[in-house]
Amino acid sequence: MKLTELQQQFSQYLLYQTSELVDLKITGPFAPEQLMALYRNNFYISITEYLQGCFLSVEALVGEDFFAQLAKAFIIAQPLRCASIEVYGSDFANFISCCEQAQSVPYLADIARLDWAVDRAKSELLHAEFPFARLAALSSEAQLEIYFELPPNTVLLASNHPVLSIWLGVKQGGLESIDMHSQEIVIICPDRIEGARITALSKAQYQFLAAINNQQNLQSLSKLDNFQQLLSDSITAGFINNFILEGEL
Amino acid sequence: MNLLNSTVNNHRFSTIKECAIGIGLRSPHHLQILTEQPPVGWLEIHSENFFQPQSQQRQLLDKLAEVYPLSFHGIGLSLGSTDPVNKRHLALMKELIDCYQPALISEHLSWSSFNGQYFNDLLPVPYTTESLTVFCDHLNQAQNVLGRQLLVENPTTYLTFADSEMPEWEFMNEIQRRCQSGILLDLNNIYVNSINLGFSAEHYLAQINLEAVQEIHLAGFTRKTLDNGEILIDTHGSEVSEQVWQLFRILRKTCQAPALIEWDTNLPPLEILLAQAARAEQEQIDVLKSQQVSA
Repeated sequence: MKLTELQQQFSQYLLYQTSELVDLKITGPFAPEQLMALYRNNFYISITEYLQGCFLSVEALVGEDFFAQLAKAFIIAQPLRCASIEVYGSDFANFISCCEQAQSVPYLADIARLDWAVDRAKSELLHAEFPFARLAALSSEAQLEIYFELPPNTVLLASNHPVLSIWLGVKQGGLESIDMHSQEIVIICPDRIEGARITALSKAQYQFLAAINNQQNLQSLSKLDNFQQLLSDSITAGFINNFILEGEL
Repeated sequence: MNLLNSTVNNHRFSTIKECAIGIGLRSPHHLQILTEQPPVGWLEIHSENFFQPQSQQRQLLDKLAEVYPLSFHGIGLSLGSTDPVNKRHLALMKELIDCYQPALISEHLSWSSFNGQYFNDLLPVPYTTESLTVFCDHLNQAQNVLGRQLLVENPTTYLTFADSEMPEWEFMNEIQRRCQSGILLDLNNIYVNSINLGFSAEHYLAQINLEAVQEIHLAGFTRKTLDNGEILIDTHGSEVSEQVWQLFRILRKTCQAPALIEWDTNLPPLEILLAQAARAEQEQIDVLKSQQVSA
């Protein structure tokens, strides 16, 4: 048997695309099906364990068994396409939102988005404070052309559910007092002490920071209501930590 | 020296001493190793965990590289696959290696991808001349791009292919001969395979080219009960077994390569890993003493 055929059949068996093993001519201390089950189980378990580490709150909400089912369905539907597993899982939240089995927990996809954002923020290198001196060195005209930046791996999440309350409730062991019909907007960003920080935002703060994410320059931002206060608050909170010039976009 | 406040001065260790005992660096131990600087001979990282240049992991590695010699152990190159070598993965590996110049770099005799899909596992290679050609072509390509020699680790395999044309040790030796690569000898893998597949671990040690062995792995296994018997699973989740210590004593009589305590699952407190490293030190001291007595 050619190596390509062997690896194709082996792969298909792992992915439940075939149950045929005869051509692989497997030998060993147990039946080929038992030996291949070791590899198949390890394949799903190892990736599921990785996803469990990224989506702690999702698992806490749905339980280990249901999470394993979700993970297995995700692994089959959206295979790992990168040699390093470290980037796998970015589409898990979208998968959950389309997954019929998960519809009974309507906020689950947004909790997954929050979990993922926290996981990514934790790996981010912490950056310097906002460069006030560099900003002051620019002319007034040049300042109007700058673009503010949020720290890398910072995520804005406007949810139709009380996503932060649920996320905190999972950690603290209680969801009873949460108004499940409320809506919450949060920002998740890297943090020097906690690794990641989640902060509730007002609608105005969200719109301001979303405009920055959409690459509106200072001149455009300054037309927003309460611009000065929003800018000052955002820099103080560490939601904005840099700016770039138009030519650096 | 307070590592947390230190600045990087680009000091790097280019070699690991003979018989030095190291431990695998795992994230739950990062802070403790950084602050306490335990006296281990070297650290081994999983390369893929440190690919992102602007990351807290890299910041940590910058600091640890000032204190410990490093070995980079890869799990994602999939050198035994018929898929072409993943150039992006290789480029990320090169960037990491160029940045830190680790003393040793290693990968596995296995495959983990087919047709662009990855399995996050080390899958078994049939020991055929075709597999040998594929593996060596990929290994040569990787060594050329990286500009460094790679060590190839003997795998754990729970099955064999009837199409195999040679035993594993012969396949390993031939890779080394054709590619001028090195060998990373995992004694736990040899023991687990010897029990599961029915061969003599001592015979394996007698047949492998020990002059090419540049690193040794020591790890633990677990026992799994199947319907009609028991199989050993290479979990790296327990202390090194007495049988593997025995193989280590045999190997140490003729091989002075640095050895690593490798522990990946059910990770214990760092102190347990350090105790295992201390045991490895004691085992090799005992071997040396017994050789002096018999001389």
